[in-house]
Amino acid sequence: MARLPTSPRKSTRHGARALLALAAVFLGSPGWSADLATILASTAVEPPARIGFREERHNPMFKEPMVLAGRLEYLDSGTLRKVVEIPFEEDILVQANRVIVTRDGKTRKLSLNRSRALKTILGAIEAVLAGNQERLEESFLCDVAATDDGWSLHMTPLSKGVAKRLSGLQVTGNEQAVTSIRINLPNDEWHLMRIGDELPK
Amino acid sequence: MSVALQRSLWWLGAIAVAVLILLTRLQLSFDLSAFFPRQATLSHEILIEQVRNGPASRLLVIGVGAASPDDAAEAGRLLQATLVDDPAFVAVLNGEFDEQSADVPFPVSDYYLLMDDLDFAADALQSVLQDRLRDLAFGGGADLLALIARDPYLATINVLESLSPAELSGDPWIAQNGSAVLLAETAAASIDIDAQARAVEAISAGFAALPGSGGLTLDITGVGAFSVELQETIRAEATLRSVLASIALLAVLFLVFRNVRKLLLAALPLLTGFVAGLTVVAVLFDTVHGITLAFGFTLLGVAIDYPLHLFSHARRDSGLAAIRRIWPTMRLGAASTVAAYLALVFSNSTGLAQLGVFTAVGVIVASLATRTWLPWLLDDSAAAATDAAPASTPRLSFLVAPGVLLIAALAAWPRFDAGLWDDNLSSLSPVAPERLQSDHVLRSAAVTADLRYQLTLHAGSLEQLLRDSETLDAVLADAVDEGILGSWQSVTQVLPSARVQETRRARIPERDALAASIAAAIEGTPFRADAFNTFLDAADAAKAAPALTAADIEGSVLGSWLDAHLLQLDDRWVALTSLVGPDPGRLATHIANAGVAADLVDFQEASVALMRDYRGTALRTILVAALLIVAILWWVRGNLAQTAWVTLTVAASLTVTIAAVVFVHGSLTVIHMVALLLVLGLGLDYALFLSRSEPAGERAATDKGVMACAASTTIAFAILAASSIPVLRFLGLTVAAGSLISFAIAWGGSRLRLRRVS
Repeated sequence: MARLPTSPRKSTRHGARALLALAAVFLGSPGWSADLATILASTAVEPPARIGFREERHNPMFKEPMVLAGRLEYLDSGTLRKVVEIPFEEDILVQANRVIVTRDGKTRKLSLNRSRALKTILGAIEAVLAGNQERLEESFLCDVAATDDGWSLHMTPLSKGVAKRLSGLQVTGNEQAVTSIRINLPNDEWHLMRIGDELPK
Repeated sequence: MSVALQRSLWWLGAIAVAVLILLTRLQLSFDLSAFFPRQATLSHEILIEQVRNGPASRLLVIGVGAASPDDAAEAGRLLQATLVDDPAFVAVLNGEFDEQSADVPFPVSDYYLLMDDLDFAADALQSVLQDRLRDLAFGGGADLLALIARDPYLATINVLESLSPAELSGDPWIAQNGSAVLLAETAAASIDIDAQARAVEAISAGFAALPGSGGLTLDITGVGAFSVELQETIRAEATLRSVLASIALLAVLFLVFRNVRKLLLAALPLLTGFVAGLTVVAVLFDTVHGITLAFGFTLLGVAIDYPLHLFSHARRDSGLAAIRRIWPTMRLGAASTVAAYLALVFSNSTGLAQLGVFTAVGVIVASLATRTWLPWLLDDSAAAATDAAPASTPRLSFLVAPGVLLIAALAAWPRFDAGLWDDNLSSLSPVAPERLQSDHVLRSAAVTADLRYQLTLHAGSLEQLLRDSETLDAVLADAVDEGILGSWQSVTQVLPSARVQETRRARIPERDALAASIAAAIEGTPFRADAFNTFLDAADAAKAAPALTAADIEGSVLGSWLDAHLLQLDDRWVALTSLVGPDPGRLATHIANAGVAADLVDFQEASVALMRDYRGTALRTILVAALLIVAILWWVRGNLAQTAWVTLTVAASLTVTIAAVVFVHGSLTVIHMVALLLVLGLGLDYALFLSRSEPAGERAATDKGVMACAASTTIAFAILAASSIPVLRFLGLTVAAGSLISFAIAWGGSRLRLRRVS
């Protein structure tokens, strides 16, 4: 089929994955229970909110994970921001269905609509923010487990299309806070974001 | 065997032979460019090529309307997903980036390292890998990892972005009216109406299958879509108007002759002329253009006059006697008309030459059929009495024609301020203004390359052209930096010159050296030592690959893209560079200052100039024909005063017709010009018959015949004049008005004064 591919760079280079990390910002409020409804009832966050993060990004090209650190901000309903401070500076704003990336003074605007996987994940994040279990379960199979120091929420995409690009999400927390979010991608690629203001840089 | 039967067998046999020839030879074509001048300028040739195959002409613009822009965007997205795999389309875009389309087409997949100037120095490579690290800090996924591992410079992406027919903002395109906008580039050229119809059908079917499509609206615009829409409209309109005109013609003729047999016989010369003209064109030319058929049949309209004159005169005499008496006049009229039509043969366009041959042969054969066949088919019940009265010549007034001319000129003068000719191609466009407005609204939502301006380069060899294009690329890059150009698409973004390919190939380090540079660059980064092994393999392959040629691309999915940017016109190669957001004036100066021999072609101006040249050439040719006609008249009639009267009458009729047409339509187009040729033929016919010497008793028959001719032509073409299609409207008004005016002036100049007996 004679088809001109368009811009895979923009979409994949600045794609969905980093946005997944923004999920962590919503999960700053604790509310421990091994029950999903109880967890969701306690994860709702009132904007504005801000918290630090330390993220490890693993993939087959890396011999060791790339480590990022900075802060996550929940500015308003539907408006999220990830500010990377280490090892370089980058500002990623998610607003009105768009991602605005500012790097070295240059801004690029990207639409969220193109990636079904990303849209599903952001839908889940909004559901978590709103404590909306029904909406979360529209897209994910949710499995809650109690851990030694809190709880763990495993989310597996229901859509086969999404599952090709996103293996699952794992959110952990304790009585006080959501402590981490792990994004598992196919082909041995995963990102682990620890959330808190007292993390080592 | 009766003479009538003999003649009929002879004519029918000839028609049968002609039909046989037609069955084996006739090939129709609908390539509009046949009607453009043969010796056009380079920009004209490019314009014609662009009309036929340009990227702009192959773009269908789809608008999907819904309750809200978000709903529309979602519906547009679904429709795009449906259409993107349809082979009818080269690309279907909605403004967003397509995360799924990470496949890189050949030859970009194999030659990307030769398509950009890449710096393989260790420090440059280190900077590039740092950028990719930042990309991986933001994104991820198997596609991105594979891309970076193979092409850390992302040269592939730079090339692919340059191929896109529109700037992708990342957001779905939403028009001012809230519709989601898709751009679908068809694989077929816009002149391939059948393929365009299939593409439009695919879009409609995809739309109908959308969930909730009942609550959505679909609008498809663009050259191809309009062609498909108009094909139906024009066919229906042309059929309706033709049927109505034929009925009117028959009604007038029946009123005049009150004889069904004569009605049928009147069609014989026209039909034999049509078959003969078509046969000669089919033999002389490779293909016969559809427009030749349509206009040719119209121009042959003058042939319907011949049987009408015969019937009028045969009322009081046998058909044979009648034709003998009127034949000299009819022959002179036919010869003059043929001279005018033959002028088209020597015009600068294959299409017009065909039209000339067709109509000239048609008129000759129609007049011969009227002379040698029709009289034997007439019912000779009329009294065979010959009029013993002496022939007289009407007293011809030399005041009527100039008088009417003066009045018309005075009345029309204010209208001529805006210029007599309208050379804008769009004035002939049958596309309704509201459809063009819809197209504009939808298209504006997607920032596409400027359709009006393109840069052209030409050279004797492809390699020289590509080298020139590379020089131009550098100049345009400066222009972008200066803010006088948004971006551009040039052939060398995909097909660099062999010299540049060689330079770039030589710049790629040997594997060991490149591996060492990579090892140094990834020092202190998370990258594994073997992370870029596929890049090393690709670099090896690029060093060993044969030079990329136009033929390689021609056979690939990028073939149509190349066709739109690289043309071979006879012995010249032409590169077309599309421009996005140009400041035409400053850009032209910038290029001229840089000493690059690229022309900034304004296609709007080029199309106007094309029409101007076309019309100028045709007018000059017709002027020569007019002089020839005067010479024929003088030679045959041998009467200077009568020749002068006929010439003055016809010239006045044409001028007044032009004034009338300009008064109604504002200006003249080439269609009016073709119609004026028919008016010339009609005017000659009327003037010659009304000025002929004949017995007083026969004059009534002449008057009746000419009146029947004028009335039938005027009424039939007046029906065409009411059409919504510009071409039919222009043709209809010009011929209807011309026929009436020609009759009125010739009648006034020949019947308002007392006759003298010769």
